[in-house]
Amino acid sequence: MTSSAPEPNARAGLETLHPGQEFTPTPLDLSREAVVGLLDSIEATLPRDENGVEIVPPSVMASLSLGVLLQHVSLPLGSLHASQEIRVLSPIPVGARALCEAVVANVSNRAGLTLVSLDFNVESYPDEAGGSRQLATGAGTVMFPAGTE
Amino acid sequence: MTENTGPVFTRTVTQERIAAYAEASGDHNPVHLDADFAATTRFGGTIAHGMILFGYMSEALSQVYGAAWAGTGRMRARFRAPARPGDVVEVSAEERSRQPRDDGTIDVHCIVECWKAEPRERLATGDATLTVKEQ
Repeated sequence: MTSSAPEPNARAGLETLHPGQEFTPTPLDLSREAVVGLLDSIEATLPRDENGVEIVPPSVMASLSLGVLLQHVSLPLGSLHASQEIRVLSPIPVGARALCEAVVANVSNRAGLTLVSLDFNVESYPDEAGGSRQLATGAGTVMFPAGTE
Repeated sequence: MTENTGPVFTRTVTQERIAAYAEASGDHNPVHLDADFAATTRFGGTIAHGMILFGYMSEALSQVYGAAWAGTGRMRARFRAPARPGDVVEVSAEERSRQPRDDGTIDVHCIVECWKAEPRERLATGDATLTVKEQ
């Protein structure tokens, strides 16, 4: 990873997806505006720790990481979200700078549906010494009728 | 189970909220937003993003456990049925176990669910863990 914001890849079509395919690390917008916008839309509140620091909740990390998939992959109209996982590894303050790395975990066909599973890993931006910290991991699966593009 | 169990809140799904989530998340899938397109799908109309239900379940845990959920939470969720505009969604959190750790903190395991109120239907389930400080 580099300390500058990388350019996203051109959006990949489904026909090009394959397990192990990695996408360019993508910045997550953890600004207060972005986080509160997501929370307001579901009538949720912004949590604070015991020191009053505003913490990005797991649902927002999952939504933003899923958004990385949408930036990189052109999904068929009507694709549906089948499952989602998120694991927060340490409290993430609002306004933190983070990068999301995503990889295609699996592409499969079942009962007339194509399922695409994506794993993601969120890390802090590298510091001056080049070190970064893992903030969250997760996975998501989307599905759509097989044969649609 | 402990006192941290049972219904936490209800939410009414509206097309306006769905549109707000689409705008905030960047997920403009027409099955959520375009009534004409959605009418041609097997759902017959627009449906809420699954991540809205995920957000409801996360918010339930946040209301019960506060910053401990935000800072240590893990959840696996399955979306079982769509929520549609007009649906009233009941969100519950049920604490299943507490496991003390050597460092004095406690791992908490919960099941969270979203149910449509009428007709009753389970929309989403979440298997969640978090770590709280010993009280």
